[in-house]
Amino acid sequence: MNAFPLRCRSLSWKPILLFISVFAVWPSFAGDVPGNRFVYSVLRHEGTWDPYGDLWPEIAQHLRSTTSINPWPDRRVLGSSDPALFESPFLVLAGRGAVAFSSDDADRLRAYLSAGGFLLVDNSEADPAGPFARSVSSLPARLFPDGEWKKIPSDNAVFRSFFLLKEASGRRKSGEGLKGLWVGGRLAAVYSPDDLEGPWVRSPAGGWLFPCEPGGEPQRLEARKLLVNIVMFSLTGTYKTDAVHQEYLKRKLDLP
Amino acid sequence: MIGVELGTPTEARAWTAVYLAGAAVWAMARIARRRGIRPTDRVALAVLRMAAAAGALSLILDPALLVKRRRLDSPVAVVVDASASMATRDARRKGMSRWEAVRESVEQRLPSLSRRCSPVLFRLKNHLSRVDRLDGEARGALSDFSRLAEIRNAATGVKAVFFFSDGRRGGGPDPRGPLAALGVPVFTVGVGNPAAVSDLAVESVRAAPFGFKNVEAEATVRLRLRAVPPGRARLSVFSRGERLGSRWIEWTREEVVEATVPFRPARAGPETFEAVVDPRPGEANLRNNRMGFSMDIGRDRRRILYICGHPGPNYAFLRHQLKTDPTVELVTFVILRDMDNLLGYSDRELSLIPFPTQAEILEGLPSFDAVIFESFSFQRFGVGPAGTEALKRFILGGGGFLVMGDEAFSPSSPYRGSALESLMPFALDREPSAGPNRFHAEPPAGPAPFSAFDNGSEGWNSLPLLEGGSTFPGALRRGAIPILRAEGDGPLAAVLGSGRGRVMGLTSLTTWRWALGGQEETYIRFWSRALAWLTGEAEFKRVRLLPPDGADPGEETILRALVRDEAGRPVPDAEGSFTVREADGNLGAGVFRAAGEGEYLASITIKAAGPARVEARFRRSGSFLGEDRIVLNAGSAWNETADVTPDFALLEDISRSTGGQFTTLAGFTDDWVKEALTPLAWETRRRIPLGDSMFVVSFLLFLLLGEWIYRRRRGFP
Repeated sequence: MNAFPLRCRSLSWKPILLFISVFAVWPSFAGDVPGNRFVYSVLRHEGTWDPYGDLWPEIAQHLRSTTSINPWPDRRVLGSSDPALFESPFLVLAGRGAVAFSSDDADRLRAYLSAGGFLLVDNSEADPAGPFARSVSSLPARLFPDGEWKKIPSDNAVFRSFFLLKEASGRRKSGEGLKGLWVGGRLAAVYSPDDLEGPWVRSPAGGWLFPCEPGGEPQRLEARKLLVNIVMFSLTGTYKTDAVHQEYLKRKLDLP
Repeated sequence: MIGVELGTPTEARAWTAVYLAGAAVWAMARIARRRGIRPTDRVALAVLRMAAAAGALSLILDPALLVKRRRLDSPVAVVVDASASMATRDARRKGMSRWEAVRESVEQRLPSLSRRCSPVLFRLKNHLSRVDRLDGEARGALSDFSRLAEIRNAATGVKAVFFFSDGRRGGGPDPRGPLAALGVPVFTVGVGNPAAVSDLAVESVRAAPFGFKNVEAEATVRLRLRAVPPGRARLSVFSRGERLGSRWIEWTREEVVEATVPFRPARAGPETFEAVVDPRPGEANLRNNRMGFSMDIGRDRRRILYICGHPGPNYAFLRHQLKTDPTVELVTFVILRDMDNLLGYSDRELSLIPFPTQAEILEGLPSFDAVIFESFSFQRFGVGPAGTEALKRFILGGGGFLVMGDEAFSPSSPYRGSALESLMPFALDREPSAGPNRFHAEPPAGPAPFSAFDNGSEGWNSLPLLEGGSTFPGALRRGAIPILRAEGDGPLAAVLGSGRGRVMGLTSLTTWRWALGGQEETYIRFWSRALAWLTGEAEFKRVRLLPPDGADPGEETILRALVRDEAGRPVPDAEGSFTVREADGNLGAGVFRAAGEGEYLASITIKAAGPARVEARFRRSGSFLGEDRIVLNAGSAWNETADVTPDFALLEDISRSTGGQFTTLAGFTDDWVKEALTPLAWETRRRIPLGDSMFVVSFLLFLLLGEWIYRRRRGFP
């Protein structure tokens, strides 16, 4: 079915439509800047840093419809030496295969995290013994003298920043949960071994490309919630552990 | 009435008297040894010679005849000691203070006094004052008896002084010299029970000079017990009539008890407190059951309310800074879900809590030092006209208000038309100006109360770029001071003082880029100073009272105040006034005079010893500019009510050295008054020196001639 009137077909509407859609989708083309809006920045590395392509529109749409976050419509892709690294408060390191960082890369990441930046490390392999997992396991120690991934307890603000979650899962559910790196008392980096982006990938037909195992669709739902929580946590910090929330949260958590 | 007065002979006259006496004795001896003289002749000659000798001798003493008349209107000063020790209730009737007893007694004796003299009433407190009636209370902080000598200035021709006192002297020189120089007799009347009075007194209080609001502090109180039987009493700390802490103390036979009382200061700023021990039954002196002390109370932490309309990096970074600042207690709400968000989730799955109602926000508002609204559409969340009015009152009453986000300063701003519009640093009715969406921040052209950098402009160039919505507020409101501006363009941030409070507007929500971009120190410094300005920290106060080095009761003290505008510039044309509440509760007031360069001076005389609270207010062109308060400790080495045991020995000494008499109040009777005043009831109208009188000299010569004629007639050699 042709959605446009017959008379319009005689016009060169396609370039016009393209022009309008570009403006609609990419406001920055008109000179806008992200300002205070949330920007999903992806770190490019020597491994497969973009295993699923640009998932951001799907994630952004969900954020926009579910929360009050006003995300920047475009993701930002940058290398560790890119000056824009220090303009990007939320950084995603995802992919397959080993990740290698030079000492300069490590210095910049260290400075980034120390200055208030947030890093989400997402194991797209969802294999705790795979090359990605092995390469990122030593990342904290490379960045900070006493750096190490520590398990994030279930009562941490990450698990309640928007949704109330009791455990972590992704495309897989390894049982290892989420791990974190604290810098100066602040949870500055989160590592998911279970592939948080995978549950967002759609097939060309519009369905989900990857099953979530072993929990199926309920697990997918929880995994999508977790990513929303991590984004919200990066913007609100320990907000949900403030005293004003505790009575409400305790009541909800105690419900069967 | 006729009287005789004899003078004091000089040395020459004294020797002359000795010779004459010798000659008289020789003459009498001759008569006694002479034979052939009849006894009657012997007696006659002896009488004549003795009379002549006596007359000659008396001339040596410079005798004078006094012609006196009775006077019943001689001025007599009746002085009553009105110092605080006279408030002790140990007078003759139970429950009556010494002052009251004296007043009753004087009023009873006044008719008797008035028949014999013209009484002039005086009251002696910190100074001597002539009064018509003995009313009021005994509250003087000093007992300077030497001030009685001022009677000569207050009333001419005073012939005597009646002085009623318990003898507790302090705060002045030894009175005996000045009173003796007065030249009139001082009759002293001792008041009070010289036996030891039962007294439980606060002798001293020690506390730290600084404390924190709502944080426990301690006062160590030393109590002195005189003739107090074993028992217990409550020891408390008060401020402005409110008990802040207490404890019970017990004693057996000690004379000194020391105890520490914990208490929580309820207000910030310089504060006065009182340590008070509950009175014991039969205690005569209640004035010394309390003692004032002062402390400078700081806020434990500044309470900040931060409401954010939607999460973003600005909230993340600023919240982290406030949360990690140990001087800040942060209460924050961020809207995580908009009204139009579609949710397919049950409430159980969400960690969302209801946004506080307007009533809940307003109820807690007074407890905050500053409020931050970031991109907050307050009308959508139930903050209506009542809420904005309450916020306005909060600001005008001293609160700080920070508004962030460029939409707040556009013509479509939610603040436009609200009670808060007039407090905004930017005019909301002006169209915004267009500008770049990425820019360097710069300092303003003129002075500003605070800045991201302390001095120099080099640091500004190294700051990461900020981002915005390509528009800047159209204009500053009158009186607002810019803090930041976009390089070569419009204002980014401005501040405006409103009433006692402060408002800051910041259009860009990207100062976090300074922190993330390697200038974390600058970011922290900027926001620390902004917060300090918003919460009115001491360095930003528009009015600062500088405490003098010291203050002595009764002495002039100079108060200094420094007055600055919002930008920190001296204000040369302000009008300032002050009030003083002294330790004894008396109130005083005055005005400041300009001394140039934003400095103002005022003269103040504090009468009562102890802490005095001084509050100063300044206005400019009729509008409130600022205020400050301090506590002055007016010192005195003498504590009038520390020991109220009467000291009659001094009173006896005074009367003795001036030719008066001493009695107790019980002995102050009509007969005693009559006896005291009788010598004063006669006035010498005329004095006739006999030595200068020809009649007297002629009489003496006649006596000598008569003696010679008698001897010749009788045939004696």
